[in-house]
Amino acid sequence: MKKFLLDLVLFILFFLIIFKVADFYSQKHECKSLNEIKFAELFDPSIKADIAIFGSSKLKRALDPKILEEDNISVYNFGIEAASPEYTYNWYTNFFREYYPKPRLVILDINWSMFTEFSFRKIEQDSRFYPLSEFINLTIHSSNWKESLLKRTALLNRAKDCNELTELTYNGYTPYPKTEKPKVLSYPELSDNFDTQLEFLKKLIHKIKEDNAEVVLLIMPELLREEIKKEDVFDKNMKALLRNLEKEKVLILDYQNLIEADTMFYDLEHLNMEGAKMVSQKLKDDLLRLTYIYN
Amino acid sequence: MKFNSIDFALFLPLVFLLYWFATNRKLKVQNLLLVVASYVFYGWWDWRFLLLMAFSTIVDYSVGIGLSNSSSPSKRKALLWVSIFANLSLLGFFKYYNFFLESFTGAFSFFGASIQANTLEIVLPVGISFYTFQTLSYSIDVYKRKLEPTKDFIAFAGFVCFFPQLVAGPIERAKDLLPQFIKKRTFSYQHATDGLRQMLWGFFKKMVIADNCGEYVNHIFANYSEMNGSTLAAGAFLFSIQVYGDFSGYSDIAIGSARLFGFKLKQNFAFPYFSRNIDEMWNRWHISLTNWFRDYLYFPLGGSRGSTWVRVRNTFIIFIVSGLWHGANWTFISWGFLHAILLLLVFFIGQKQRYEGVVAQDSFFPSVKEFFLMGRTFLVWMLVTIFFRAESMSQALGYFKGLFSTTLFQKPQLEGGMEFKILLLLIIFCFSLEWIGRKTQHALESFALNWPRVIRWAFYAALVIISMIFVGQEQQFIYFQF
Repeated sequence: MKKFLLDLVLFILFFLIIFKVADFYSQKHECKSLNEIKFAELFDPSIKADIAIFGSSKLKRALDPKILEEDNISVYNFGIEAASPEYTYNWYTNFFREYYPKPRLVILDINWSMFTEFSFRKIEQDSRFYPLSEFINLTIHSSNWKESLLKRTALLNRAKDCNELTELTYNGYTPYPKTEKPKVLSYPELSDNFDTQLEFLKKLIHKIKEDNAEVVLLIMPELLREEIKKEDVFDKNMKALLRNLEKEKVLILDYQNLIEADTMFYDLEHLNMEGAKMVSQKLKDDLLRLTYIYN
Repeated sequence: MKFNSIDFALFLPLVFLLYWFATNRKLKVQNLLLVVASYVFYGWWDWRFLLLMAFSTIVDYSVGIGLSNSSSPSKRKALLWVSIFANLSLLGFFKYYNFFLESFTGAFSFFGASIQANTLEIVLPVGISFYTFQTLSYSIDVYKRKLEPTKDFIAFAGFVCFFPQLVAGPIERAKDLLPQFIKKRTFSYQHATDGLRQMLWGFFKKMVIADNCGEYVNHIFANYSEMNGSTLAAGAFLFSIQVYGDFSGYSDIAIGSARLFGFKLKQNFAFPYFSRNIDEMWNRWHISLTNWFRDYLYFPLGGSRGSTWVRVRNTFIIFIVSGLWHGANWTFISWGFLHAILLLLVFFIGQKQRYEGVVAQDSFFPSVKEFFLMGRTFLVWMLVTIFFRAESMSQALGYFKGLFSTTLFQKPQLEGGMEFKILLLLIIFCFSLEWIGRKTQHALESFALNWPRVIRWAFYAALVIISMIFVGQEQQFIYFQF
């Protein structure tokens, strides 16, 4: 037994050395993922955006800050995959408010999949991008501390998202390329967390308004499959959502049916670079027309 | 508690230290620790279902005692039926109630009659199919006087709930596992280090191979109607790899963990994808279940003795029951049915030769013939496995329709978390090591053992780091649902 325990301890020490070398090497040579760059901007702002884009990958892949910005208006796209209102609320209150200069306008997406398992992102899963103090704080106080700890310390998934950066990447935005036809996506089960997510969305809007920023809600174009359109839950949820948001007195831009051509989509939910260009331009025109941001 | 969790990473060393340092003087206390630890392990998922396991334990322990005190054949038979009834009732209610009800009402509506029946929202207790079979085997063996019943309740409870193999096997026989609870166990350096190696390999197969394949498979099966034939073929291939990595990985972790406590569990997977026909595959795949069905169902029914008809009937019975054991769905029954046909084809029109030893016994590479036979066997297995993965018969049939279409030769559309090229390299790496270790109990049993210690340890450390870097999105252990 003594020999076993001694060998085990020696192996663990040996492993830690190799692990540290691998960690060092991976940090030095790892391709930077777009999300890593976004979190760097969040915690150490250089753009200091007047218009901040929050929300899911639908926006990350579709709103081009280059089109939206002007000489006196900077824009940053903080959109991130699988962000639910709950995630964005936690992200906003925990980090954005603390570290980032207040923007003048926030663009936020609302979509049917925010009520589904597709919106699974948790702030703990990006723990390796946070300053040490935030990581410790999160790990101590979160019920999901194990994920926070593992994601920062265990090299998990370091090899993913390496090919995301392209020459078109700009201020948090990177478009999807053009494909022969839109890729097929798995559709999630519609879940019943509508009320929870709606509450978080409302709380988020209130917080942003408290911070004296204007809020614009965006419903992005997508190629919905017939079976999803027919889903009662989908229809009911979207209608209930819009009804609820009427009381919030925020500008809602509905681009759901703005683009229907397959050639503009990367997959059933996301626009490709052509679609992104079109929707970004349309958004800019509408913001010019309906808000004072560019004045 | 899942094996691939921080909880288990803390739980296992804690139990290990208590086991060998705090309770090692008294066997009873050591066994009690294992029982408590196993109940904590199981209750981590849902403590309410501990009662079921305790019930099953008490029933079979009492039946065993009753059988030892009775010589009357009718009373002994009645006691055996108590055990069979109690265990199969649990299984029947939790696993099959809704399935039979729906099939029953479906059959009526097919003939034009309509009956109303309410299904229940029943949660399937994890591992119920495994531990009920394990306890049943005890009662049957005691009834047949193949085994002396134990009077040591703690040892018996340990046999039923032993945490490494509690929720997904291997299904151990009482005659193999129970004596290990009754005899004092001693620590063995070789066994413990071999256990750790087997666990490492199991984690690699589960977390890297199975979980990454799972991401592709989920996407392809969820959208099978919009996929071309080549993508569906890739989906079937990847699912075959996933299910093997998932379940054999689990078995490796279970067997390896047990070795740390001085227990030896039976090999559950003997490199089945290197089989030369379906008969050999079934001798190498989920061995503990196959043997269970052979000993407690196939042989009592007459096995392969008697007429051809008896053999055909018995083969269909065990495979259909085996399908049903895997899940309460017609897809599993069809899967079992097809395997029965394949096995009978091997018996009657294929090579009657039984393959006992490993492939390429005396050489490193297989012969061209062996290679062809292995490829053919895997291909057939892979196609039938579509029924195993499909959620319904219509999905399975639709999948086949899409697979065998003109689009089979188009470029596949593969979408998953990891780049497919990297996944393919990892699969090749995995099966290369399995090939090298095919004559042993697990791939790392003798691999690298002769290397200098530093290089060997660097290899193990690299395997851990690869598992961390390339870990796939976690998929539940497939066999938990059974």
